[in-house]
Amino acid sequence: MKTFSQQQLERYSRHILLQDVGVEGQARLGEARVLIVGAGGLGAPAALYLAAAGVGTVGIIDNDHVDISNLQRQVIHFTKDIGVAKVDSAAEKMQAINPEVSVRTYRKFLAADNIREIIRDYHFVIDGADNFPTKFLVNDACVMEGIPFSHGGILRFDGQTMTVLPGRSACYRCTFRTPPPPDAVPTCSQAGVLGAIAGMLGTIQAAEALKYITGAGEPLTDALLTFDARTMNFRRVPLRRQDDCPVCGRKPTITELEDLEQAVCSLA
Amino acid sequence: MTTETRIDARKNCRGVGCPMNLVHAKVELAALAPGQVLEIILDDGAPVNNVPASAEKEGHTILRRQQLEDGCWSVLIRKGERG
Repeated sequence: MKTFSQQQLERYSRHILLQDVGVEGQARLGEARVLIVGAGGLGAPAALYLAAAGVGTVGIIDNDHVDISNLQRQVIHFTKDIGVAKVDSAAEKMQAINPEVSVRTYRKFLAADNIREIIRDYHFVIDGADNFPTKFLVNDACVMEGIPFSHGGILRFDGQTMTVLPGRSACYRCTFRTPPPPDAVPTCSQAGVLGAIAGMLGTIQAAEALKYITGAGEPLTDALLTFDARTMNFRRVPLRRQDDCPVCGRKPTITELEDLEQAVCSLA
Repeated sequence: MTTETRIDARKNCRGVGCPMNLVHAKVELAALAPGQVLEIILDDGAPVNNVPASAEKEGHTILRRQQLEDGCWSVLIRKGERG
């Protein structure tokens, strides 16, 4: 088994003390590779917590640069980072928290022609994308590659998340067949979002990744967890795998990935 | 009449406070097979009160606690099946 230095034992002591994580779970974290899609509102807390937790390799993909309007919720980016590539800004903070973590940055759009190749190298994916086409793309690609992932989305005061174990639990498309029409959901710059709910949701996603890797607890599968921060009511909606799901059902009709056109919102 | 207990690993946690003494105990126990025995030396007070209790909660068995001449405690922990 991996041996920990004295410093590592102290750094990870609060994990090692947990019976469900322990020395073995912490060692698994050190061997794990997790990809974060989007260095925005959800990706920011997820990246910070994964780095802090000692996940061996964290990949982060985002084509954008830091804008002042991001700073209200994307807590991995600082005022000094305005104009810097988000993946570079995020990598710097992750390294500062935990120099032991290897960070891989991808400054590009995730698209049908690159996603499978990118995600294939990871054990778990956190979807913090800010638009529906990418969320469906992540779902379909993860199902095709058999890679577990956490879906997450936020808007205004609302958040929703589910964990998908492809072939074993309901996928995003079992639940939501197709992206909403481009004009059905307000663009995020119009709708707004309470900054702190990005932390609430992205942190749940990080916890799901850590649970999956260490084997602790039960994943948030076959359920959609939603909350409304106005009342702080949480709801857990049971879900089931659908035989007729176009991507993970018995006779999939989606067997190849394609890019969908939709205006990108800058919410997540 | 005493039966000699075979000790498979030893850890000296003199001067090591809570919770790092438990972290060290867990690291040592993780390297053992179920049924094997760890001798850990713990300070008097909170350490000897807390570490054996935590180990028991995690399914290990405390075989013996013995205070040493310097006031510290020698505790024998047998690794449990689920530890």
